[in-house]
Amino acid sequence: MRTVLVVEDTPSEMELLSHYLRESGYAVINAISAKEALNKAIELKPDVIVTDVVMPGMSGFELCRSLKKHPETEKVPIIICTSKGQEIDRLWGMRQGADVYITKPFTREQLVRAVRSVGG
Amino acid sequence: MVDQINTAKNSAPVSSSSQLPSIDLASPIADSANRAPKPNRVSGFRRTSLRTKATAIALAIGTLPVLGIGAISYYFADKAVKEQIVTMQQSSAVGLSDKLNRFMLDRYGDVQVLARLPVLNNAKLKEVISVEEKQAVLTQVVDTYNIYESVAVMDLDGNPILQSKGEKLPNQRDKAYFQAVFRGDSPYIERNVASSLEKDAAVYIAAPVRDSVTGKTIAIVRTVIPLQRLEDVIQDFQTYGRDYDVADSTGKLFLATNKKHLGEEGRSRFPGLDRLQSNRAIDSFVTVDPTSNAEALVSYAPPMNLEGLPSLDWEVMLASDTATAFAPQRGLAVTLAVGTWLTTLLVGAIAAAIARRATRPVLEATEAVEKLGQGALTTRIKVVGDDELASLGFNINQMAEQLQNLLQRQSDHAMRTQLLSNIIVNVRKSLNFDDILQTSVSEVREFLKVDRVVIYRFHDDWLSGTITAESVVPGWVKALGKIVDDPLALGDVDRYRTGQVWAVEDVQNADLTLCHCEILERLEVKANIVAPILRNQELIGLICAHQCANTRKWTPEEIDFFTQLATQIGFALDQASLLEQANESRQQAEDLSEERRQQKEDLQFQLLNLLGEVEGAVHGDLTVRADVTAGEIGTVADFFNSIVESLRQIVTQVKQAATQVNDALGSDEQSVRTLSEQATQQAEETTRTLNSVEAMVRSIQAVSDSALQAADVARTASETAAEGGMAMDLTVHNILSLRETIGETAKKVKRLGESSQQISRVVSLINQIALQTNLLAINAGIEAARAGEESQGFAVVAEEVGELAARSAAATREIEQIVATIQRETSEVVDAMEAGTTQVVEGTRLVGNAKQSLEQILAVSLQIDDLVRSISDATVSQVETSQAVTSLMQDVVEVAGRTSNSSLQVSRSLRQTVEVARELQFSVETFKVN
Repeated sequence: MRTVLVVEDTPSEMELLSHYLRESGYAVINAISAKEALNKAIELKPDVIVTDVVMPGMSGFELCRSLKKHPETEKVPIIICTSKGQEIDRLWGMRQGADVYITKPFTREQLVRAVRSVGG
Repeated sequence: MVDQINTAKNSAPVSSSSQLPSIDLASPIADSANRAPKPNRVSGFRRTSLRTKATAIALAIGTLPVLGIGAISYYFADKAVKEQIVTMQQSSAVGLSDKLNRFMLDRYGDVQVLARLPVLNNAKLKEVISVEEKQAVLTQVVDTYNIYESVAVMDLDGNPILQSKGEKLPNQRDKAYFQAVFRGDSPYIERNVASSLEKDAAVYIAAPVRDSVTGKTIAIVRTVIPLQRLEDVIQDFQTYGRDYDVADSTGKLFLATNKKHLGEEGRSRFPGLDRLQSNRAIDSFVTVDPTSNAEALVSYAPPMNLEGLPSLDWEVMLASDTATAFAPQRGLAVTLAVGTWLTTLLVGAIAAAIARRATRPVLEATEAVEKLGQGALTTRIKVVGDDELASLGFNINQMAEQLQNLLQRQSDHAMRTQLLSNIIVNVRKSLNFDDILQTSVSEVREFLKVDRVVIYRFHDDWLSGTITAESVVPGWVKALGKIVDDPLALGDVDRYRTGQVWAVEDVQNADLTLCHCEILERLEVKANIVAPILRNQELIGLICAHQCANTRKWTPEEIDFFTQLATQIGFALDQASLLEQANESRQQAEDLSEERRQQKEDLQFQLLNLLGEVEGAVHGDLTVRADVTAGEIGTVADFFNSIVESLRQIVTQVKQAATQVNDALGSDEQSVRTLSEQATQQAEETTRTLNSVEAMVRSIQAVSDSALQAADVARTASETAAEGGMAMDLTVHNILSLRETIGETAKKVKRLGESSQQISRVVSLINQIALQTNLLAINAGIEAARAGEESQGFAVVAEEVGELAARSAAATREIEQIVATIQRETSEVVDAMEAGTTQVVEGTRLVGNAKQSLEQILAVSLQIDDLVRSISDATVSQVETSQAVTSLMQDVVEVAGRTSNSSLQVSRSLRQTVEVARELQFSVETFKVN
């Protein structure tokens, strides 16, 4: 079973993401901040990381950078799932190491397709 | 005339327009009056009146042919007369020439007849007839002819033999005629008469007289013709005022009517004659006589050739004053001119009268039209008869009438246009849709003087509509706001769309739908007119004018006006809708701008937040972090975060590096310092070594010097030894030669001893001789004495010989003693010499020894020299080697010095680096990274 680390500070969103992924047959690890996500990613080595961008403290972008810098996690595919839908945001997100950029609101299909597309 | 009609058309009405007070009538009349002098600009002919022109043309047509014919006939008559006059004069000139030449031919014949007179050429007859008789014959000839001045016969020497009565002639040999006949032996006629005019005005003719038997020329006969005779011949030609002139072959005149021209050149008398002379043809020309300045007609006859007469080359000119010559021609001209003019005047008068009569109706018509042109449109022409002029008058009258009508219509039209424009202005004043409609209905009702005007707006289905505006005369039913169900057929819509107006004069009698009729009845309409209102090409409603009081016949002008008004309302509505659209778009633009402003403010707020968050980075705090918000700036904030992160990383690295550098530099500095000291020490030691080497070099130099000196000494010794050897050789040689000399001397001394022995023997001999002599002397004395006294003298001689013998004996003894001494001494010398020889031999031996010693010395000193030289060479190379060593050592010293310097510099640089590293460390410390 594939493991997906979901990073999301909003509980309802977290619930939705987890629900979609679990239903699609993924094991889900939750992290409510980027710092926590960084530690868990190193520790638990998930197959895919799905992260929000706008979070207190470390942002999703920074999380991407940190993950790409760390040798343990640099190979883990990252999916950014955010409400920031402008083209510049997408461009920047991809620059920071994200593999897929999906904007909220998203459907289950979009999410699952994204996770599958990066090998999850 | 057309111009005048146009003028009238363009200007306003003139008369019968008093009911139109709004139009200024004065100005067009004034304008028209001002236009009257317009034809001033055209040419003079067009300006003159028709009557004048007609008269002028009639005159021209009548008189010009007469004048033309007169002129032509005059021209030809004149030409013919002139030709006749000239021809006559030319034939006269030819006649004159002919007459003159024939006269001369006769005279030429005369002289030849004379020459053949038997009394002159018959030798027998000559002798028979006396001179007097012959002269009588000649005189008779002169008298008979009454032409000749004289006749004479000369012999071949020029002496006159015979002559007619008269003065006795001198010798004629020098005369021209004589020479000519004498040489040519043929008859002669004088041609150049003019040259001899001053001497005698006469012509000479001569001929040779030939013997009738032999045919030889025996004399010359000559005749003289005075010029007067020639003049008599030609004087007939002076008639008709003509002057004759005859020129000889030189061109000079010798015969002339006017004697003062005699001797003149023909071409100077008549300028222009030379052309005719060169042509040599009969001709005439008109020239000016230079003397009288009068014009003259000159006819020229060239030289004539007659058979039997040698060419005289005489030219004949016949001149007559042109005034006289052409007098007949002038008479002809005057006659013709007078006749022509009289005819012309007569024809002209008739033509003018006809023209006047013909133009009168046209002038009258013109006057009338002029008045019309000035605005008097009531003017009419009296029409008489049935010709074109009458038709013209009728047409003009009709035209005037039409013009009056036209002007009336125009003024009406202008007024309507004015009203329409006023209404349009009023309608257009407002840009509000309802205002436009309201203004329109009131204005239309006012203008058309109808009872009601309404605007009917269609509903979307075209089946019904609302009355949205109304203007109604009080007392009639009000229709405003009423919804009318009047379904419109599709054909009606299309018809209205094309802008067509529908006018009904009487509703009762019109063919209307029931529904429509009811509506109209409800509104008490008797007559109506309807026009569509189009907005943006779309039919939106109708404007309807209702006449309620009575039926009404709509005039075309009214319908036209109504149409135009409806169109204008459409335009006004277009404008209003355009304005509305403009307002809407402006409102939208304002909303948009407000929205943008809001966005901008929001953005600025986000930016301010971002700035507040990252401000610390400016002072080196790299721990700052901007919040990545959901707004547009969120991503930019993360961009900052990324930069700050990178910076943080870099600064951390730099800090570490600076510390490491500092540590490393501390140890390095010590090593370098030690290195530097060692290098200095090495340099010093090398310098000391160098000094020692230098000292050694100096010693070697000294040795070398000494060796050189030793070599010198050895060489000197060797040389001295060689010199000593040579001196010894010389000594040995001298000694040997001395020994020989001594040997020789000993021999010679021995021989001297032997010689002295011989001397001893000789002396003994001499002694004996002396003794004997003495004995002889004694004997001689004895004998002298015996001989007695006579022998005394002998006795004395014998005594003296005796004495001499005694002295010789004494001298001999002395010699014997001397020789004995010599002998003794000689033997002593021999002895001494022998002893010397021995010593010399000994010396020679000693010297030889000494020489040997010297040779040994020489060899030794040479060896010494060689040795010393090799020592010297060795020392030189040694010096060189040591110098090389020295320079090497110096290099070493230098290198060592440099090493020392470099290491010092390195040391210093290291110290600076240490400082820089420290500064760097310090700077980096200002960044806060954790």
